Amino acid sequence: METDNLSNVMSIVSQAENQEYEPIMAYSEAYGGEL
Amino acid sequence: MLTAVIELTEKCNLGCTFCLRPSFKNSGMSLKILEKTIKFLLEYEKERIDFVWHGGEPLILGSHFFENIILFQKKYNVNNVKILNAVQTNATLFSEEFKKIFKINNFVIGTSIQGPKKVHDCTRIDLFGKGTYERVISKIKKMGEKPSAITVLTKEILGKEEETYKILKKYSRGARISEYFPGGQIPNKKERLLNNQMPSSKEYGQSMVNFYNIWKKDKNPIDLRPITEIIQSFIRKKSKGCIYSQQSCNFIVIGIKWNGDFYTCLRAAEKKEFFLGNILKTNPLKQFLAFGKRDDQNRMKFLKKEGCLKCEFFNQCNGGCPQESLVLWGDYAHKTYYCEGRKMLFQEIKKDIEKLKNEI
Repeated sequence: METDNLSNVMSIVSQAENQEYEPIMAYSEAYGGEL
Repeated sequence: MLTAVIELTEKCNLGCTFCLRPSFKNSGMSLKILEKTIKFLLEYEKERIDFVWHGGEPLILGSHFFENIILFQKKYNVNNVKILNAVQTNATLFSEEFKKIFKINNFVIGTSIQGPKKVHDCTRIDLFGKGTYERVISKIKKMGEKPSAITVLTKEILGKEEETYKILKKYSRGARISEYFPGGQIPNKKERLLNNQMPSSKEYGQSMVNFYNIWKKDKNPIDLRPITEIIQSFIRKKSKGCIYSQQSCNFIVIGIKWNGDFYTCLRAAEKKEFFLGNILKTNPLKQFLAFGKRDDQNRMKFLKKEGCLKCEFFNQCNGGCPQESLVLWGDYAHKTYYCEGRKMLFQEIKKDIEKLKNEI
């Protein structure tokens, strides 16, 4: 199941523009990885 | 908003090769320190606290300990602060009891998956050197809901991004591909593994570009960090995640050790210049923001010298983690080791965002 266009990027871009992008992982919101 | 990353114990039942603090010390936070810590944090922060229960392996403390966490949070949350609990576990000790407690109390479960078995078992091993893939996956299947996952980008993953992404998609609801932080040690030994599993900056960049292209083509993609965060940062002109944002580092994140020692960050634990105080002796949060400001100013001075402030991707990158600089170079004066690789990924994403703008 593949798509060649930029729809996934577009989706994140519009979430960011609409301030909708919420972190699903509190941990990763702050930290980059394994501590 | 405050994110408290709390190391409940240094003890772990695994011996992952890239573990940052593999002390395996027989240690655990006492209920007295737990209670005081929760009380202090809830008095300090008025809006939202993300409690990140970390280790070692936090589930070693048993399910009863987590019931006490909830008990103390209810007792001291007199200001109705929004609380989010997250636990970062290797999953192997997960049980029905934990499942019940985490479900009732809306815990966010984070675990670690390194990709397919042959990749995972190279690094995520137990104390006898045996791979843990089957044990981890069988416990994830019992969680009811998919956890979030962290994957550390080691050399073993290079060229296997497609397989790794498939596994992450199958077993997690969202994943983060983390930069290998050069702190790993062989369990109970002193020597470091810096050169064994750490990719070059360019290898890292190529691998992240591969992940990005795989994610981009997926019709039903998972939230793949930091890729989705980086896309977002191009729109918002600022980044999230501590290694991409100095505003997280030292301002909204705090690191707390099992013995009640507070640090500006857990990566800085045991370093006296980042020590804020012990909860049993003082109020360690008094100087928290002042320390943050000091560290931020110092870091910016170094990054200016490194040329970061003039880089077109500074908003996306912020120069990386100061603790990484310390581990690699012995001081805080260096930009991230992954500079070249990060730029490869930023460039690829920028190109697509520009394409999108031109289409509109």
